[in-house]
Amino acid sequence: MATVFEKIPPLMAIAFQNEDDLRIYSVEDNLLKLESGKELEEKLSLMVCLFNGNSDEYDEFVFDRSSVVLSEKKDFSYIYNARLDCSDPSVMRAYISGLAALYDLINEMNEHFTIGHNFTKKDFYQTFGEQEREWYDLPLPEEHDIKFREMVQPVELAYAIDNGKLYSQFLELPFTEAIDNNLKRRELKKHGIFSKPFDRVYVGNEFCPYLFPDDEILSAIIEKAFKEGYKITVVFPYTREDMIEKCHKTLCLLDDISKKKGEKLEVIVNDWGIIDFIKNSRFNLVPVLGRLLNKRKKDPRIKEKRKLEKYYNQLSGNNLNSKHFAKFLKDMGITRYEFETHGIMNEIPEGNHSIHFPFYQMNTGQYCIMYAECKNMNRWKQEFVRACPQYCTEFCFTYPKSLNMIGRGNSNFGFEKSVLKNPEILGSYIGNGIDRLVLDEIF
Amino acid sequence: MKIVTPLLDADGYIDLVEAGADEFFCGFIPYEWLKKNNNSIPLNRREQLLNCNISSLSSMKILRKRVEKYGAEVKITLNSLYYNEENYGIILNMIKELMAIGYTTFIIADLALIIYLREQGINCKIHLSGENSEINHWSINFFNHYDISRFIFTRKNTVDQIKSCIDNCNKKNIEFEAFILNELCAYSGAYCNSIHSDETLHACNIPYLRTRLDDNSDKFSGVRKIHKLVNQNILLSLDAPKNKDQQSLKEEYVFAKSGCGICAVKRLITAGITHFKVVGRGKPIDQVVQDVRNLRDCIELAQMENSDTEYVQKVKEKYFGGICKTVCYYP
Repeated sequence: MATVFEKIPPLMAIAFQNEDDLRIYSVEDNLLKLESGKELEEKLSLMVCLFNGNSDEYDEFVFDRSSVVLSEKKDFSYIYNARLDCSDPSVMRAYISGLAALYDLINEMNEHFTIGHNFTKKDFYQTFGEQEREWYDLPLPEEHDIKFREMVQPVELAYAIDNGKLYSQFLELPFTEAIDNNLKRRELKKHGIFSKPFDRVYVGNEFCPYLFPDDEILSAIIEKAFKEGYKITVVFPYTREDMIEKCHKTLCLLDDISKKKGEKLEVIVNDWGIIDFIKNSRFNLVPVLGRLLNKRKKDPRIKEKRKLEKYYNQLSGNNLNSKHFAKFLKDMGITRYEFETHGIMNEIPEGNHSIHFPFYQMNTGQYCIMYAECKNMNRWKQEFVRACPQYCTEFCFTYPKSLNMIGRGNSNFGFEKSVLKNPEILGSYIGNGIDRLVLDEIF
Repeated sequence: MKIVTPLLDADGYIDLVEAGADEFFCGFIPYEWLKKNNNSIPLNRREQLLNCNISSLSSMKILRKRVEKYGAEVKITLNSLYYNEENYGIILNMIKELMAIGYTTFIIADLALIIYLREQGINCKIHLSGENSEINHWSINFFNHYDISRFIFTRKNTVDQIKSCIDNCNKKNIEFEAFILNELCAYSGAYCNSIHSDETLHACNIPYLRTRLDDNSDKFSGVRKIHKLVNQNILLSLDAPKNKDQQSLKEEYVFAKSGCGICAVKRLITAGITHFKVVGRGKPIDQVVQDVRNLRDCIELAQMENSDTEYVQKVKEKYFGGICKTVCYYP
């Protein structure tokens, strides 16, 4: 039976006549409908490139005895009916087989789009508590624990305080006690990574402006951090136009604080305009590249990617590994970048950088999805939030278990605990320039 | 006021020009890129193999001739959030080849690529993609250092915020583009790092449950009651048999069904927007033609009406039976 494509996806089948590529409209086995920008000779050699889903590459078939007949002269192009023919019959056989495989592949891909997924009711946790317990269940062989204890000694440990509940907790209790309580709640206190005291706190939120503390709370936490001997990093989210004034005011406040303390304050920034402002302002602040500007593919389903091993190296890196961009960032005053553990090992550029764990950001929206779900009962009825009720302190979105994902407020996060389980992973990061580990608990 | 329209391939160009499109954007992925990366390392934000992009330079040459005849320019999307340095060579060659044919404008999101191109002496026009999320005037003025000729605002800005950005732009003769129709994303493209590929569903379409963090809490109890009902429906639908036949049918055309900024047309024009962007490189051509016609009609209506209130009332009556669409771009 013939394999027929009435309209073949242009990225999956391309024809060439010498150096000139030709668009393939339709295919029926060795009969093609082609478009060319210029007239073709009746007898010619054609190369047809077909995408192969098994190898994830393009198979190239040369048909040296092909012929074309003009079917239609359009305004600026010629449509030809081509008959592929080859002196080597094995080429035709391989091509026909490749075409049939492509047909099946396209049907399979279309099914993913029409059906989408195979999740059922039993794929979901019953409660958030159940999910939390499973995620933080981290039985560790003793030798791993020993390795963790050794390797964290030279690195800095930072704790992220990124929402109202944590701001209150850390203002109420000594930092060490607050951190200990939270680690115990998650049964992380005995983990080798946390065998040494935390050195630093991150205050603020990279993903949601409504979870960033007001200046009064921010000042109080910074003051307390200094008193208790903790270093501090202030974390800014993306910056909307209506937030510029407030952001400016906060930056001025931080500049004041840092000048009074006689030491520069580190600020994580997720907006190019803010980075430019800090550079030009000569504020006593050290900008750090935030996670929203460290863009890469981060998705628990990355393991479903066809031939992931072929693209793994590229997926490990991004534009931060480009020399010219690193130079640009250095000129802007940025030498530290924030990374996250996710399904792919990050290729860490030269220099000293931080890594967040065990959550990584997948998607963030400027309009809060949780707000839309709670106020309007419809995720698509999104709006600009003028007064945030902080629904995200009460609710989250839970996803199928196998995905290890969670939705909080305006963002989705993946949960990746490899760095908590496997000391080699952490060791590799530390060996490549990670000198700070940042624990993000999110909830 | 100009309409910027998606172009799936060279064929739809004339129909869309005749419908009222003033400018187009399309994706081009050369075979050299496909052989090395297929679309697993994407060249633009349509990261699938199945459709949405042009793969032959000959098609681009044919299209160019149509542009020269009909005058509606075509710009090329190079709007992936980032590119690896090892691919700069292919990108540079592609840009040079396209510029040699006559394409001079590229939609770019990656600041590193913009810097690289300017350092290489490539003087193409750059439209800064909404995937960069330049959402305040400080960012816009920063990017003005790189000779950006147009800024494309994301869908998650209010009209007031857009106006403020435009008013505070420190360079003259800059164009500003706003999304106006179709495919509202749940999240912001610039901050979306999930995979959009043929193998799997978009992350924003994965089913989820609305879950309480602490079952002992009774805060927002009214909300919680509704969440429980919604969750029940979701779980029931997951276990229901999937109807393949129904889902494979072509979707009936409904104007602005998947994303709508129509009510904001007059306010956006007043704010300083010069171009309206219709989204939808994957849509059937006849539906895009209809979108362009309807949008052209809305723009003319906006320009005729003196007040925004009158415009909004009339456009809602004419196109939506007086009832607003749920998927609103500019609520």
